[in-house]
Amino acid sequence: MDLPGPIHDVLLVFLGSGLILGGLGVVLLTNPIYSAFSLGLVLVCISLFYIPSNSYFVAAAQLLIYVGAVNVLIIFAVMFMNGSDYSNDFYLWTVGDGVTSLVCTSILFSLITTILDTSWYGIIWNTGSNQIVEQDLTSNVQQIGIHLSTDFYLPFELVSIILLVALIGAITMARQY
Amino acid sequence: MLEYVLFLSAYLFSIGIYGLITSRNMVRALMCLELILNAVNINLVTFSDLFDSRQLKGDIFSIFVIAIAAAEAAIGPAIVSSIYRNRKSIRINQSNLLNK
Repeated sequence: MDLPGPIHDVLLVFLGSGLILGGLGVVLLTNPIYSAFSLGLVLVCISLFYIPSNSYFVAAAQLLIYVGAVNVLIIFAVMFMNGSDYSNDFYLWTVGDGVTSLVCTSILFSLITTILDTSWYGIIWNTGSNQIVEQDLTSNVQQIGIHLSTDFYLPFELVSIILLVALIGAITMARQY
Repeated sequence: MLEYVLFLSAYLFSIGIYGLITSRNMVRALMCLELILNAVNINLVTFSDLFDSRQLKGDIFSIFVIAIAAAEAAIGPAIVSSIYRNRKSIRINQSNLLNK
């Protein structure tokens, strides 16, 4: 989407701050229902991130599937299994938590240094030269549909089989005997 | 734009790993798993927009990842509710049913 520059930057900073705070809230909040709602905030922010990068279909699919189905299912699971051990489960900071936070921050900083060291725009200039020739007039959604029905047809059918198996398995496991 | 989105994706991935390892609640572990899958999705969509804007194969792979995550989110709470029915608890360190 071609937004004007300041609106684009303000939107990106706003969505990024929402994503960072929501990600912290998923992990650090003690009540699981609050962390489920902040997971919903994170998913909505990610879905709005896809709109400036011209992926409208994925943004709509993210908003429908993640926020509409997965997050609602997780909130339902939290409310369904609301044991009484949440309230007296005060947050213990053990040695394992410290070691894990150290490892995760080291992963984060090594990824950041790798991202800063890589010259991304050289890769763009190398790969973008031969793509201008075969410019077609179909939109993104048509392009995705054409690829899904021609050269990604076998993974598409396999995904449908996986969804069917997951549906039957979930019903079988969650059924009362 | 590209480095900013990659930083956010790396942040989401690392905080998802942290929550997946240290959480004591099974549903919270499932939420952190969703965070990790979403970090992968952000990378796929961003690289697809910048490097492959004619073919959009990253978008298609992100749709497949969304479908797999939906299947996982259907299976995960079913397993957790089955464990909760047997054990009356969803603490991770108390689910030792295969240990007997």
